[in-house]
Amino acid sequence: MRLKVKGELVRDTGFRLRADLDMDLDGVAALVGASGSGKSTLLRVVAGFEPGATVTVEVDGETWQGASANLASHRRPVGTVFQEARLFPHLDARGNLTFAAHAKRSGVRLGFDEVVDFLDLEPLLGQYPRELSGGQRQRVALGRTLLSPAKLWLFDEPMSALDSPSRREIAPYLTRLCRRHDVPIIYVSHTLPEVLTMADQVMVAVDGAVSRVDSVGEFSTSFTTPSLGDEAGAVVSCRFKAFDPRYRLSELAFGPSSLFVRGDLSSAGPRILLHIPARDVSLATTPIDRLSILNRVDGIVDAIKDQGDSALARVRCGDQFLLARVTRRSVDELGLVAGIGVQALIKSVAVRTSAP
Amino acid sequence: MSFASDIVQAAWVTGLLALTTTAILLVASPPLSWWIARTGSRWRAPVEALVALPLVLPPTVLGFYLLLAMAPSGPLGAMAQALAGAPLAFTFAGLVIGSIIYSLPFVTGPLASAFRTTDGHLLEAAASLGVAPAVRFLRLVLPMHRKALVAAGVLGFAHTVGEFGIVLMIGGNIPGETRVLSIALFDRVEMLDYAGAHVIAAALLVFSLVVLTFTYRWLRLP
Repeated sequence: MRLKVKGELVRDTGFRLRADLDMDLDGVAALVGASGSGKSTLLRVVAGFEPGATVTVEVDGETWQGASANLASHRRPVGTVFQEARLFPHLDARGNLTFAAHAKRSGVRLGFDEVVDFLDLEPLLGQYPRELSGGQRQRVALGRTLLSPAKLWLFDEPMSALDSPSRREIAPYLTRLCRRHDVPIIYVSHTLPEVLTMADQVMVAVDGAVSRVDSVGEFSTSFTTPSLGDEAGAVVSCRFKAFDPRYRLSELAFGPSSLFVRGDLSSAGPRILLHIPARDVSLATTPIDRLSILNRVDGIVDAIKDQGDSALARVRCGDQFLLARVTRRSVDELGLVAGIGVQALIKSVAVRTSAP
Repeated sequence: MSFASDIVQAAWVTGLLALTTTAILLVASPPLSWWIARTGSRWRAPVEALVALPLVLPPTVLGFYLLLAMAPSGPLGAMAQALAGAPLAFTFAGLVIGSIIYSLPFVTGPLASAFRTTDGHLLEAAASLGVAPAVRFLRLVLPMHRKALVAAGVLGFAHTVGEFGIVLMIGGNIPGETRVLSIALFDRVEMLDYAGAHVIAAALLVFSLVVLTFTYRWLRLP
């Protein structure tokens, strides 16, 4: 699906959204940025909740919004999951889930049983929104949108109220649905590791300006990436090499080195994305042999950036980058400067939730 | 005619009139109230004022103009003559038209107030599911405000039962056709039949009190 969003939108509050997007949506496109940077507003524009001629929205050559057109939101084949659940209070969960039966627009319709089954909604069907917990409401809202006919899904932090186990279960389900039915997803999340390991494409919003970035890996290790804070980390691409059943470890090729990841990844596809948090990477200037950390990768310091109490070091490994969070004292004591060789000791990695 | 059968007949006409009026108002009023509650049009204030007129105008003023309009030479009367072959003034149908206008603010006002509290986020959510505006109104707005709908209906009904001035002007006093309880009460007083007047007055008083009590209690239920 080709999506073009161009133009400027000024809200009553003075907030200004400037979009210049022209991209082929395929799979999951992450939309990241600090709060108030325009992520939700962009989704609202695409969904049709910000009518106005100052922004042009074009999908597969068809103008949804612009100088001479404004397609009403219910006619756009777009399913939106909002930050809040927005369940209809007078209907029970089943009534909410089946509300889209009154929809006339075209698009993919998923089966009721499949969605209910996967999101584990069966026990909630007879309950009213006021009887549900925050996480349960969000699951019903997600199911309600998945059951509406759509050719594009917009997810505005759809899992913010869920606990991590449910997130880890639901995220791959969403990616699978998106691929199986060929319905692209624009996914807004504050949890960067989550969204970066899901994403095939990344859009970034900075102070109301929304644009596309070229590569997830480059984006994740760029020092200009907004509001990463403690979540800073590199997304790297690996190939599966072997699975060792004795220790239940998969060996992945990362440039010339190997990375070991728990679990059998033999069926995860040819390209496996890993998220490596900067806080879980230590640097050594002389090789360390006997250590419980399995993953040790040689690289060259590419750049160092001071960030208050600590510093962030970017390490080049082949044609990819890692990030390491180090203290400023270590920078001085080890003499870390651009160009010196280091060994990166990686304590933990998160595997991409689903293979492309 | 005996007193009892006179009262029963008047009560029947009154009930039928109030039911018909309320039914028509409950169909016509919600879209009008929704428009009043949501529109940004500059016509909102004039339309609201027009709807609210019966609240402040003496019913006889309204009745007088309606009488002129419904007379065989008036616009409504001529139309009725052409369409149905009968005039409107001094008929039950004419009374229904008068009651609709007279009770309109009692249904439209509470509904518009309730509609103003509608959470726009829920309407957006429904639109995002692909549901058209008319269906959103029927399946989301109306059920969410069902209490306000019932309250507005009860108010419209009770208010129609109690109308007098308009009926006096356009209805005349035809037993079984336009003779309602409030007119029957007026007749009894004219005839100095205070005992009969008491029966009707007390019945109307108790009816109104009971209806309002039940409505307010029901509105407080979760």
